[in-house]
Amino acid sequence: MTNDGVGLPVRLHDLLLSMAGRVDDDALSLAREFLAVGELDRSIELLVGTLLAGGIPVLPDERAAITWILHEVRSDASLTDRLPVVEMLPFLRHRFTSETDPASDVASLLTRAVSVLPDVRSVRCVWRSSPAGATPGPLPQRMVLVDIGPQGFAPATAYRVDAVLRKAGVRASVEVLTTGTQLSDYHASAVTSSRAVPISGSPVTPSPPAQPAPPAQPAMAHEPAATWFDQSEELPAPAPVAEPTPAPEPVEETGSRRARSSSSNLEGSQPFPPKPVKRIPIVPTEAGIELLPGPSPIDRAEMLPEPTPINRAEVTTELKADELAALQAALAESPAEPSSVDANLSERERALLQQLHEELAQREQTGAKTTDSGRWQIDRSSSRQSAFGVANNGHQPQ
Amino acid sequence: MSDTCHELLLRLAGRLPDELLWRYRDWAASDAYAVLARSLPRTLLHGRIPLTDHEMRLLQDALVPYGAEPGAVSSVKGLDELPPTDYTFSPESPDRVPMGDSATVVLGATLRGRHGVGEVRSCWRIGPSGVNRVLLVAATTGHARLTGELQRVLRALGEHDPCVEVVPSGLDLPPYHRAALAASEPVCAGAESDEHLVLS
Repeated sequence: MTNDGVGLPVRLHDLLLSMAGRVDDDALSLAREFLAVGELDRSIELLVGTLLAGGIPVLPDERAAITWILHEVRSDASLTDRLPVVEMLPFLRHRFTSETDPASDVASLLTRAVSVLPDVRSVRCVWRSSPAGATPGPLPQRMVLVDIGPQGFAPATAYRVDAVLRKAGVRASVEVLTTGTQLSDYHASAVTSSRAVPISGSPVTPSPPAQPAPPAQPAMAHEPAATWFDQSEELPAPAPVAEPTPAPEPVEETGSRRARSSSSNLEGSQPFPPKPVKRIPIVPTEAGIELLPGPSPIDRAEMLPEPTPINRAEVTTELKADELAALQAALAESPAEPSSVDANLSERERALLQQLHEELAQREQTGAKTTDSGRWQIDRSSSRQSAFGVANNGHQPQ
Repeated sequence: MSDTCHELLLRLAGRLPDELLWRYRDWAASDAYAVLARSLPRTLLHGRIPLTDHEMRLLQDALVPYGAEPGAVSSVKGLDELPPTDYTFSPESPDRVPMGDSATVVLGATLRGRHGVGEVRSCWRIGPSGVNRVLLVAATTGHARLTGELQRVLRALGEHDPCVEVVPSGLDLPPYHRAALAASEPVCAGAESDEHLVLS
């Protein structure tokens, strides 16, 4: 393990994740809260105390990870001396089902909870039945599985979603999984039986998307194995990162439509209209940046890759095909000479058009290199990665 | 040592968050004093929870030998006298319909005639966090372990943050426990039938 410090919260989150199903939900919830608010020492000590008091066995590498984290947070690394260590974890059977919709009464809560969180890819719910006495409260118990991308922050997501549910009087086990990382048996079983919650812009798939983990090998999150959402082979291109996500929107409304309907109020109070984030093929040319040559704007729109609805922010700010074609046609013309298409544009669209021209002009002046990535995006991934220390939120590359 | 720690954790009822207090008592029941010695002082400091001089001595005696940082222990705020509790107590739960109380039935079956256990009483606590059952048990021995056991029984019966107060003989009850005892009703009695909870 590296001693970079910045990856420590993610490693601690992964450790807590690996304890799910073995340590009680209340302890995990509290440990994640401590982690999210920056009290890493209290978080790991709570975990150690729970393991000791419950006589819960851990694997040798789990104990090594706990010892390392205790050392990193300047706690007493010898606390792990009394932890029971085993080579193979005892099998604790949890049963998962979603025959009765586990999300029916919490979908709006979850949608609201994740609307302010970055890079939430999907939310799923499942009922869990555990052996008698293992967890307090009536059975089955609700479990919420949140999938986040590399731009998301797992501890904060777990804490915020759990806090929203608790505030509403809903007890649930909230597990935040990062795309591309291994699933434990526990999480794989939960995902397999889970049902998607239709949050804004996320796909609602009838069948669970995850690969189950290999049988009878529980454990650590850094071992390569089954991955979340089948993307070990083809990781999706970095999701377009939108400008600050607007307020949560209903599923059926696109961001552009909503922006247009509310533009009259917003434009008076904002210095410039919200920027659209969309996929437009662009290439650098001598004269600057212009759209790819193509037969017609409509054909170009058809050539655009089908947007992968993995990023809620992307979807809510996506322009519709006809709007895209209109804007592309307008961009092909000189801004000084409004085309007929431009003449037909509303004030709102003209403002967007002007915004695009300004962006392009600015990029031309600064000589920023553009790549033929088939998209126009504002990428903050580098700054996020430096903040977290490593790419992919500290997970081992698959 | 365990009696010292138990008395300290007993006195912190209503002052530490329930979700931490029951867990610390569970750790004490499981002899996990080393981690308790690190965690409890930090929780007191984080919550600016003050202790009386007597409680401060209990903290030092109970946890410094297990690795509590003397500096952290010394930084805990002082308190001249325990104020009245902010909670109110009731013999009946205000938000449950009258019906069979399975927890009381199980606890009665578990504790009735049990060695080392005296009077067992129960009441309901009303506070900002909602309504919680409070179990008051007079005991002559094994206080920490009895607390841990009863907490786990109540957890299995559905209480997320069980409030189990096992009171040693002759203890001068803090305001929290006096208020709870005043509103409580008897559940059963153990083998030590002469061991009563007494309002002092």
